[in-house]
Amino acid sequence: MRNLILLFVKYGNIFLFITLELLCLGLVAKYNSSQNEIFVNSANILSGNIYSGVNNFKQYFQLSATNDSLALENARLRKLLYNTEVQELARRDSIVDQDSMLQYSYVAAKVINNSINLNNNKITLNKGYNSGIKRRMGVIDANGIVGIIKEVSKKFSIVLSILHREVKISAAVKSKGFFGSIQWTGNDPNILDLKDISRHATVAIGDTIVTSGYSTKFPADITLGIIDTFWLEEGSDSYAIKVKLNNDISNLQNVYVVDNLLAREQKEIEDATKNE
Amino acid sequence: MNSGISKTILRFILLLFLQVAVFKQISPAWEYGIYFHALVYPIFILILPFRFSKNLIILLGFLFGISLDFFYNSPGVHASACVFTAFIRPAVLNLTKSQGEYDILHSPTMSHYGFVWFASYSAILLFTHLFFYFSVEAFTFVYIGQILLKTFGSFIVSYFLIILYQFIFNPK
Repeated sequence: MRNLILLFVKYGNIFLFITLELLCLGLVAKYNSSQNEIFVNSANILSGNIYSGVNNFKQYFQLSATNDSLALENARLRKLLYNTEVQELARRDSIVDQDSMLQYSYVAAKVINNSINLNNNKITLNKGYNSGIKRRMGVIDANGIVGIIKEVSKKFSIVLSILHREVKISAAVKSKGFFGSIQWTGNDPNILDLKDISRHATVAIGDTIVTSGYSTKFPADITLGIIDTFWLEEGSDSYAIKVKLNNDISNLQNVYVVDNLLAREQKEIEDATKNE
Repeated sequence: MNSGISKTILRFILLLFLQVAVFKQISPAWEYGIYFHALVYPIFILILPFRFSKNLIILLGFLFGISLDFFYNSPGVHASACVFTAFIRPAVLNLTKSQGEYDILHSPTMSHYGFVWFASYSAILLFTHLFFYFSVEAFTFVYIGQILLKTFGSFIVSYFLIILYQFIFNPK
């Protein structure tokens, strides 16, 4: 017994080191694999509020750029609005089901924390479930896709950025209809990989890549980027395509969380037929 | 005794703030920017006073690392690297002990032991820290090339900042 105590006195720091190190690696492993990241993340009140403060300060330097992008977006939306009015007029006398009119609603949010240079990047938004944000909702900005909601607290939410290795988004080649999935490989924050486009597809450099609309998270036809390079993968039936992102993830300010009002219905009917 | 503890607490807060509010926000809009992280916080462990016991230093490293993880959304990554750095610190101090014994009343800073000594001491610890950090971040050695590139790239930036920190806060 005495020897055991002496052993602890002599090598206590090694035991402490090993214990803490195992604890840390356990945390890392847990966070890498499981769905629960509540333990340590910036949705918690303390760090969330500090980031809000830092961000308030940083915003001043980007005011004019933000104004420009909002003005541009306003212009685009006004055009869209005008066009829908015309369409509405044209089918005024047809039966309109109010329930099915609106499929997507958007919650505007501000980015208060962001990174692009880690292996798995996350973004913190300043809105939480108080504003109607739920897990697994998509997030977009004026020029493209931002990510998917991972964790929601009362006033903040964590987004798995499109620059996160586990995020996969269903994408299609615009107006050609070929579809595959798009994912980041962890190198260049402007380039994503589009996979599963089969070899009989006709693609060209400069083709626009958009969301396919097959998933419940994003509406169809949101521009993701353009094809930068592509080649036929050896021993495979599909193209390897590098897509240059349309938006700049390193400089996000205003984003929109996509609330698909029909998501549950679509999921239910898809799940019901899953095993057939 | 007290001044060492209060200084350590102050430095804890200051470095945490500097790292998450200033250096984390710098992300160069350059294609190879991902290889250059500005990580100034390891200096917290580097210059803890000599009279702190090994156990205390390891515990402080853990606390500091886990606090950083709160802000980086990366449970365990910074903490494990800090614990590792704190653990090997006595060995590195022994290794670089060229001009006699260390004075137990001081901290291992540039002002007490000179630029050359601090440069080599901090280089060894910082490099080990960064290599460990990027390895844990990747969690596999499959990306060893990328880990090494990130280690070297970040080492250049962080080393400069740490030496600069010494010139500002512990001038001769």
